[in-house]
Amino acid sequence: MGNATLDKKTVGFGLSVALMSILNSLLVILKEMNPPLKAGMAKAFGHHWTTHGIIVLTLFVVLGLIFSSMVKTENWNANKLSNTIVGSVILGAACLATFYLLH
Amino acid sequence: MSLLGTQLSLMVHVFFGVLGFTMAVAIFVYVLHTNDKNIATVKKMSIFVPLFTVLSYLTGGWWYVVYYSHERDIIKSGPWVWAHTFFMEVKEHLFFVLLMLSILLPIIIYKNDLIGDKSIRNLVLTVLVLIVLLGFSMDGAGAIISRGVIVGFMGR
Repeated sequence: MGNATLDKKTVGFGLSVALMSILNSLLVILKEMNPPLKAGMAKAFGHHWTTHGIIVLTLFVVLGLIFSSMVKTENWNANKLSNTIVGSVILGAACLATFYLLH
Repeated sequence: MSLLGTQLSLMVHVFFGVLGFTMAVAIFVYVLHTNDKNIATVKKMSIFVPLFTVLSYLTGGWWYVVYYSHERDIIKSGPWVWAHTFFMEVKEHLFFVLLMLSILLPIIIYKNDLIGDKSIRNLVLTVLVLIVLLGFSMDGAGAIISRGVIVGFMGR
């Protein structure tokens, strides 16, 4: 058997991981290229990395809940979700590594 | 905190991190052979992956924010500057992806029928592979950062 309908929260939080893997890297690039933003993030919670973590994890939970309520599970199967997560994690990691290699 | 205390706290960070992805390896083996008898074990074990990863995040994060700046200065004064500028920078930010995947794992396992559908088992296996690969990357990067501090001292 295969391709059973996935649960809504699985798709919602799976998509949230995929999106946040990329947004996490974009936020890194944004703060490193923008010293006032990095300083502001450092001021907000004592360290830019602490603020970065709070933003990423809060967005992950909020987007996961929003996607869970909005998503049409019939449009998603396990293979499609799996490919989306793998592609996004690789893209996010490659963006991070490339940025710090060149920065 | 004493020198011993700060070093121990860093070891606790590594300990929970390794425990988290070792648990992921164990779940991987169970999921390859999922059946009615072990599904309850798989579910219980899946809770420990985010638990250990969060504990690793909190202990490592606390150490990083409070104590790492001294070690960073030592690394940057030595020849292995890239131990900080590449490995630490990538590690500290890529960790969030590992954390989110760890939280996703029990959601998939608890909310879907693993026994009845191979594609869902494959989704779980894929997430586990990502967790293990990222876990090993974190571990390797941590080792390089630690050596960067020693190389920094040797250069003084």
